[in-house]
Amino acid sequence: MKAYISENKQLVLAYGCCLLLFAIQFFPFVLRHDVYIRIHDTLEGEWIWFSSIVDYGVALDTDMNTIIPSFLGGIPRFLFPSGLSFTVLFIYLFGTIGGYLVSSFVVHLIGFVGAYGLFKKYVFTDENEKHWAILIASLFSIIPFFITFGASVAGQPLLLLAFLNVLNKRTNYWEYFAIIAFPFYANIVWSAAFVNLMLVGVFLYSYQKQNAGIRFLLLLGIMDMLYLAVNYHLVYATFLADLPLQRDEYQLTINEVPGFLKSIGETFYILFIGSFHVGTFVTLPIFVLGCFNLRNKAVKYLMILALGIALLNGFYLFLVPILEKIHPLIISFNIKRVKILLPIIWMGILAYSIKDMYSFSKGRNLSYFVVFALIVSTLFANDEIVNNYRNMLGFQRKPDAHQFFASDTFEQIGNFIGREKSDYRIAHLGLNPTISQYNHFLTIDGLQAMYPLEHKNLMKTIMEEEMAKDYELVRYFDAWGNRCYLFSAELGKENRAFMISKDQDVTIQSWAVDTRLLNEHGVDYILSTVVIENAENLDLNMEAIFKNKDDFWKIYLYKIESNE
Amino acid sequence: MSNLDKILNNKWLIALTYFIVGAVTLLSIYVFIAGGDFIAILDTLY
Repeated sequence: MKAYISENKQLVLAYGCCLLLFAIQFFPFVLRHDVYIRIHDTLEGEWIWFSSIVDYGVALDTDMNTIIPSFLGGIPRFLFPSGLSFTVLFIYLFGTIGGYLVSSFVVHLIGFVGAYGLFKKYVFTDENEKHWAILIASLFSIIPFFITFGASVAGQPLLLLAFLNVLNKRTNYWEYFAIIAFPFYANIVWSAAFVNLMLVGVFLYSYQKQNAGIRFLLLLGIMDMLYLAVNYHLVYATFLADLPLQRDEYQLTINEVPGFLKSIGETFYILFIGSFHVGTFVTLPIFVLGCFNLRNKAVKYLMILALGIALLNGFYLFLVPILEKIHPLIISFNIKRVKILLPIIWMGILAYSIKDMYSFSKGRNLSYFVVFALIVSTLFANDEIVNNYRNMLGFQRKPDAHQFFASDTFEQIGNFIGREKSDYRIAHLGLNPTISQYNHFLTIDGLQAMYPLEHKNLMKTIMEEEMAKDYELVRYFDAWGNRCYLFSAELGKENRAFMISKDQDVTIQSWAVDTRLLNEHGVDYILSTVVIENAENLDLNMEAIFKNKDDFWKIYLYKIESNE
Repeated sequence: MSNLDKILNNKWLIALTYFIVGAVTLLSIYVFIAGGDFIAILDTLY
C-alpha cells in the first residue's frame, strides 16, 4: 500500500494536531480574569449551585434539615447537588471560576485519553492506523461538553474501554479506578441509566465470555451503588422526603404542543447538531460516511441507534401521555436524555467508517478531509472557544465571567444598602438572580431543578396579574417553572429577557407584581436592569443606579416602600 | 468490486460529499466572523 507520508510523520502530525487543538482551546484560560464561560444553564444556574454549597460550607452536610438561605427564599440543602464530586473538589480548591477552568481541562483531557485508548485498542488495531485514533480522539476532546455534568459524556469512552478490558480479561488495574471514580464525576440523572444501558448492551453482545461476565456485572453493580451513595441527597429528595416539589406538577405537553413537522425538525436537529447538555457538533459529515459504510455491521447498528435516539427525542411529546399513564416518575426521569450517548455513537461510526475507507486511496483523501472539516466546524461551533477569541481580538459579543458577576458593583450595592445581607431579600427584573446568589445576597427568585411547590405557588400569586397579560407566561411557568423568576409581559420569557445589558436602555411601561406580598416574604429591594415606569404605583422607589465601566449591567436599585 | 469501492468511484457522489462537508465548515467559519453563534443560528432553522 502506497503511503503519502511515512507512518512516523503521520504520527507526529497527529500528535501535533492534538497539541495544537488543546492549545487553541485552553490558551484563553491562561487569561483567567477575562475568560468567557457559558452562561446558559451554567453561570446562570447549575455551576452556582455547586459553588454555593462550597461557599456555605455544606458540601458534605448530611443533615437533611439544613437550609441554604440565598436561593428562592431558602431551600433545603438536599435539593442541591452532591458534594461528593470532583467538580465540587475543584471549586473548593480553585474557586468558582478557577474550578470551572480546571474541570473543563480535566474533562477534555479525559475525553482525549479515553477515546484514544478505546479506538486504538478496539478499532485501529494496526500500527499504521494509530494516527487515526489520535485524530478522532482529538476531535472528540474538542466537543463543547457541558462541564457542569463533569465527565458524563467525555468519560464514556474511558469507561467503555475499562469495561471492555474487564470483559476481555485485559485489565491493568487502572480500569477499576476509572469505574469507581466515574460516579464521582458524572451527573446521575443524565448519565447513570443510559451508561448502564450502553454497558448492558455490550455485555449481552459478548455474553459468551462467562467468567469475565461475572466480574463485569459485579463492577457494574459497584458503580451503580456508588452512583446512589454519591447522590444520597437526590435519593432522599426523590423517595424519602415528604416535600412536594415543583417537578411534581410538570405538564410538558402544555408547554410544548406536539406537532409532526416540529418533531421532524427536532429529530434532524438532534441527529445533526445534538444538544448543548451533551455537546453540540455538526455530525452531518459523519452521517454521510456512515451511509457509505452501511455494509459494516458495527456502523449499521450504530447508525440505527443514532437515528432511534434522534427520533425518540423528536417525537417524545407524542409519548408523554402514554408514559404518564405508566408512571409519572418516568416523565420526571425524562428518557429522551438517552441522547447523552450520541457523541460516543458518532465517534464509533466515524472510526469504523474511516477504518473501512482507509484501504482505498480515494477513501483516504475523503477521510482526512472529513476529519479536518469536523475539527474546524467543531472548534467554530464551540461557544466558549469562539467567544474567548472574540474577546481577545476585541470583538466582544457576550460578557466574560467577571463582567457577568459584577462583584465590585454588587459590593457597592451591599454597601449602599448598608444592612446585614441576612436581614433582607432581593428580587430581580431583567437580570439573572444567580448573580446576586453568587455575590451572597439572599434572593426570592432563581433557577432551580428542584424546589418546594409551595414556593412556586407563592411566586405565581405574586405575578398573577402580570402573567394574566400573556398566556405564554402562564403556560411557561405553570408547565415547567424551573426558572422561578419575576416575569414581565413586556420583556417576555426568553433568556434575553434576563440578559438586558447597560447598552440597551429598556423601559417597561406597566409592571403588575404584588410588591406587598414580596415585602411580606422579606423582599425589601428589587434589582432591575430596566426602568419601571409605573414604579410609584407599585410602592417602589428608585434609590440608586449602579453602572461601572467594566460591567455588563446597569442596575437600578428599587426599594419596596414599607407601610410600617 | 465491493460496495464501498463502487461508492468511492462514483465521482458525483464524492463531489457532492466534498461540497456538503466543505459548505458546513465554511458556514461555521463565516458565522464566527459575522459575530453570530453557529449553533444558535442552526437552532432557529427548525
